[in-house]
Amino acid sequence: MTASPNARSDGTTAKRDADGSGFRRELVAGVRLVDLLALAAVPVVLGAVFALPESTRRSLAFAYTDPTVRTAFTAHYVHLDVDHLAGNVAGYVVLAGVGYALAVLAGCRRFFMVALATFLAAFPVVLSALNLAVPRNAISFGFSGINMAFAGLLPLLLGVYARERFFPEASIRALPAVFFPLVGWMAFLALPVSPGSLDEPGLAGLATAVAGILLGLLYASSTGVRIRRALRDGVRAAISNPGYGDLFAIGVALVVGYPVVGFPGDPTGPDSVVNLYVHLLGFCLAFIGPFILLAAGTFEE
Amino acid sequence: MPTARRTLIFALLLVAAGSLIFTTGAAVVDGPADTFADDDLAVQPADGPNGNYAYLNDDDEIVVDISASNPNLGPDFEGVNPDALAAADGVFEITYTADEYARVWIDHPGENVTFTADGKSFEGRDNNVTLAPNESVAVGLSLDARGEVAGTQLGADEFSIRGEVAEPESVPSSSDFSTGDGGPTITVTSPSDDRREFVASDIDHDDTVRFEADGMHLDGENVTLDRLDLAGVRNEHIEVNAAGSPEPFANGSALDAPTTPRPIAYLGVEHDFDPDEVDAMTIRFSASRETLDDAGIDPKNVTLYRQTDAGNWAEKGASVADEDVVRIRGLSEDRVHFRATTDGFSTFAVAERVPRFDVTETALDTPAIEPGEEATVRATVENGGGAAGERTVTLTADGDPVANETVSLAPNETATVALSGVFETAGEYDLAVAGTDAGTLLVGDPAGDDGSADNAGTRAGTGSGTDEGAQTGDGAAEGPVGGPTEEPGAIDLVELGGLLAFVVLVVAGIALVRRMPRS
Repeated sequence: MTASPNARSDGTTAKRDADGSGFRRELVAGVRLVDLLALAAVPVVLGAVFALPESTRRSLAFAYTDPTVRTAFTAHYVHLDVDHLAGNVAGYVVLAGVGYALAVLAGCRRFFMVALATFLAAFPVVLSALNLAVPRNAISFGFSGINMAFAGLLPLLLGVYARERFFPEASIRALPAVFFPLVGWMAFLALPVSPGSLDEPGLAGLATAVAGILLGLLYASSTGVRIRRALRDGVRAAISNPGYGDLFAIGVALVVGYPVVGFPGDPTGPDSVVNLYVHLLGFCLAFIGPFILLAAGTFEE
Repeated sequence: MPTARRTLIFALLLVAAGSLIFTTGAAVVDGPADTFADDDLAVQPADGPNGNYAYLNDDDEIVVDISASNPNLGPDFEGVNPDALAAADGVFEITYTADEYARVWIDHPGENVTFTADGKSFEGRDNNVTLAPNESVAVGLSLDARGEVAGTQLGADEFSIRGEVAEPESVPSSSDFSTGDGGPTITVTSPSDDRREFVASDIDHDDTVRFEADGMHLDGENVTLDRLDLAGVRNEHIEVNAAGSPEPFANGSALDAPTTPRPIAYLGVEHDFDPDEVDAMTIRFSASRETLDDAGIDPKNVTLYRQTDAGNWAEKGASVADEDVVRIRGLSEDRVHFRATTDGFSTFAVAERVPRFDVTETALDTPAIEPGEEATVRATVENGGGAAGERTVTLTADGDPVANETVSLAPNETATVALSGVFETAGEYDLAVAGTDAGTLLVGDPAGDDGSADNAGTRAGTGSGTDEGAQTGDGAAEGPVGGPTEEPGAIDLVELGGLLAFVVLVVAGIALVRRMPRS
């Protein structure tokens, strides 16, 4: 993303959108009912599953010692308590809602809906299967792995959105420069600095974060992105484009802030351990796969 | 001038012997022999030149072969001349190795060849020879090749040696003392019903000594010691003290073996000789048929154990005397007569082999079901006892019977049974199969929707449970005891609220910046 602010932010447009009404009209015009129904179906399904007896829900959880394809899929739609369900539904509404808005205004609605279908249909099985890489006597359940997939998709949607709205010369191929620092950020959050010992993370999280930042800088420089200028232009775009800029800023805030929610420093609870591994998998897979498709121009509209 | 003579072929192979009416006994035949009838009869080529007509093949079967194919005769042997009458004594010997008397004969369908003993026909039951223990009979052949054409085979392909227990012609007396007939002098004293003191003297080398115990009590009259036979005694004088008891002796331990046999009675044997001076001891004991019936004991499951020097119990086995033997020997038909052979002398236990059913593993198919649904537990059942048996295996839920299955297993056999029961009432049930834990079954939603921690221990049970503790990442939490760790994919609502507040702050900050006056 190396271009200067988009020509669309000319004086006429700025005057028309000073109160954000143009933004709202364009957003409403781009939204389709079928999309909203599809998006709304997820909380409905999660709630319906939650209404099942606990014994049934437990039978739908994914047991690593007795894995089945059925439970590999169903486990991601299972929640055992209200807080668990509410957190994931709220996270979904925020991430999917912002993502859909970005996609609509970036003209990549089809890309988003395909990603949505993939996340809901294929990711559960894939994430469960990859969890088997670490044998343990545990059961896994909950939607947050899919939520992290939406979080992984968000940088891509922001990139496309920024290119469409503010920086038409920006290249999607530079997006991994954001991915590596984000992974480092997650590692830093999940593995807080602690006194070095064999059974504690020590400086592993910090080291991973530094490595992620360095990789991001290296990648950015290799693709011709000037970090300081890109940041400055991004801030200017957000400030000078009411509505569009606000959505961009919200997206950026979620990209940076959601890992804080998804990667708590202490994932342990009474009789449970938050599955951070599935969070990382969801984020990475949701970024890498769609990025390849985007970079290949599969969804050029 | 020598001429090549045209000869007859003669070859018979003993491959079968019938009338297996003998009880077991130790063969004392020197050298290799073809044995049958529970090894009570041994057949081997006779010493002497005619013994070359017989040999033992690779399967240790006796072969009588008067042709060039006999390895003892060689390729130049020309066989029997046509139109000749011939006889050969002492071709092979039959030795009776048990301790009864036996009538022995040969069945052979051929007409040209007749088996003989002492020059007389030995074929057919009417021409039998009675053999005492360890007595042998030399068998010869009489050939009639008259009218035969050269190159043909005389005799049938096979012949059979038959035998049966004979009424004893003379049995050494076994009262309190006896001498006799060149045999050892034996003294038996009875201090009490359950004790006997045996003394034998003037024993010939390798002789067999027979001690009549005359119903010494092992468990009252229910189980008695009847006789001890010591074979291959190499001492001139031996003393043996025997004592019986239904309970373990004070100086010995109770019967304890992996197959958990049930002890019936104990026999203590003290002796003044080195065990190496005696080849083997045969213990004859009997039990009241009524007693066995009342206790539900199958005589085939009665066995004898010997306590080793190390204190362990080793099964020696016991055989049941055939009804014919009981009748011929004039033994009481109200009792079951047993015989066991041992080469060690110490404390013995008469015991019953019993089945022992163990549930070695259980697996609950589905750890959680809805009320009205069926739960199935698969249990692996093993018979670790010494006898076949049948057992009903019961599935219980919180101690109450739910289902049962009957399994029949031979010793060391295992089977998996599926026990299914329908659970109508919601709740947690501790399942067990024959007392072995089968896990916890969750029926319905007894804890409601407000929490899962209470149910965290629900799991599929395995009797041999080897659940490993589960940790993830840097997880420091211990999983529920015996159950899998819960790994929710979750986010914290408070932290999510913080994130949303952060987003609002960002948007508000941007709005404020937009309102700032710009130069």
